[in-house]
Amino acid sequence: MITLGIESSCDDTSVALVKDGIEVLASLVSSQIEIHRRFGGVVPEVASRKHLEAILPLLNEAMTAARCEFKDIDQIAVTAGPGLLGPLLIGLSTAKALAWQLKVPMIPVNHIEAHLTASFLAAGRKPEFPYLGLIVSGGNSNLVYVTGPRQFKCLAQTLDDAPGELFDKVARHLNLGYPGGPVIQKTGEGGDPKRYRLPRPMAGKGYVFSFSGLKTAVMRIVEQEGDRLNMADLCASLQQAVADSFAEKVEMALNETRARKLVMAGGVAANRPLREKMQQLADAHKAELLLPTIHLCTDNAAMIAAHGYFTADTAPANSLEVNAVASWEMGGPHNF
Amino acid sequence: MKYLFIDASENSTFAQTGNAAGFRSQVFATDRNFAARITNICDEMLQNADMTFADLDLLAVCTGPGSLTGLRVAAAFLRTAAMLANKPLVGISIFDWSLQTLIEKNISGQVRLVMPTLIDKAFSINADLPDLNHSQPELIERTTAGAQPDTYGIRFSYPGVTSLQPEPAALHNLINLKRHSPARSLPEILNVLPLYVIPSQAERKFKEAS
Repeated sequence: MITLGIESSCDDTSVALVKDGIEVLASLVSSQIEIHRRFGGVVPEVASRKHLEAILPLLNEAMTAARCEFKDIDQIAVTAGPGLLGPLLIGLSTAKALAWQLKVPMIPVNHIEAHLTASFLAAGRKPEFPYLGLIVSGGNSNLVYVTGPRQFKCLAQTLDDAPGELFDKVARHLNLGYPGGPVIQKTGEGGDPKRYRLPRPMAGKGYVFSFSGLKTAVMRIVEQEGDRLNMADLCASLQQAVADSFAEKVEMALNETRARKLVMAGGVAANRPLREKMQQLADAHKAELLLPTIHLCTDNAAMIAAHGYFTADTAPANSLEVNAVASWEMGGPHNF
Repeated sequence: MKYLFIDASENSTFAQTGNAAGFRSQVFATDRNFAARITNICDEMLQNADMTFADLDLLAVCTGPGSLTGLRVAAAFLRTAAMLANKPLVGISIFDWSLQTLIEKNISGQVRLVMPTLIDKAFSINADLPDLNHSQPELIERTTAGAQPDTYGIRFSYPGVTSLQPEPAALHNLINLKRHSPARSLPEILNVLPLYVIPSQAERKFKEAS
């Protein structure tokens, strides 16, 4: 069964074709990073315009790359939320036109849930339950216990910034560029992660994340150190603080749930120090760690197609009447 | 020639089907649910006109000015449908539709059309009827809208401005006029975008700063 996936929740337009939920036939992404870089962040109105320009050429390119014809498509999975409303609507409207014309089912997909499925897709496996999922991205930091398709128990969320947001803000403050995650990782290469003492926010305070204090702490160090500031050490220390903060909560959850699988997903899952820390943790608990490939860490339609395939049974019968939603809890009902 | 037209530039959605015998229009109170209802609207319009999608010779979409989200949803939907079914697509701007309305009211000579957009602003164009060609839209202060004679306000009343409602019969005739130059290939279809996009606040700030 071939699922066409469409993703446009933020600044990446993506189209993919996935066979039986595990085999990626084509996965293309048109990134708007260069356009938004000059604004220091994503401008929703500009993003919507660019999605509209990119989506049909990308769709045709993906069909060619997968050597498929439109008649080969069995179903369409599309991100319906959460995300930026204007951009989401471009993907959703395109998917609706396709489903309407091809007379195939359309599955509205929760983008955050799909990030977790990306880790299984990377391994060429279907999702295996239960597992502990950690989603770390520009807009999310969620720790969830997953017991079945679209069945989540939320264990921890952030009180304020998401880690990607923290990296973006710090990178902007340090004039390192955008997006923050990759430039902070690059700058921190070879740096001493113990050089600067940064807090581990919410340590010992149960299932809760907080990152805005880290941003303030970084800014204070920049001010105190002045010309003596070692940028590589600062970036390495920041990444270590983020990794330690996540590790404490994940370890609690591993002990509590006795989960034997740990899945990390989202754009910040590409961060090397965080990946290494999670691997150490998984090894110590004899758990299997599933990580997406770098391509599948960031927003992509392959994960949308795969998640749509495995959650098709949960899609509402009248899915063509679904609207896009800016906020959509993981496992929450489709909006009507 | 059978066609389906969608205008999502306002809170309510205007749809029209037409053929050689005439046209049928309907307004749907969609508000913010246009994206949720778009397939139902198309199905209902086709059903009421006793047509199927396969029967259509042409698709037409409103290209603005108006609600950017609504315009984009309609454009994304109809462009995809046109590409997939290999049907031609025409873009109809509200300026062209309004000028055609004036022509059918036997108004000729120089006219100015204004249409509200951002708070306190309006788009303004000039034309010399019965020629449908018009000047590039300019953003003007709304308070200056009535400063010139022969000014018509599209769906808009203001002192010194004659209010004008674009009419379905004029749209029907305009689509028939434009059927000879539709977008057929994908690159052409991609050009049928909302034409009257106002720069975002971030873009305006960036332009000012640089």
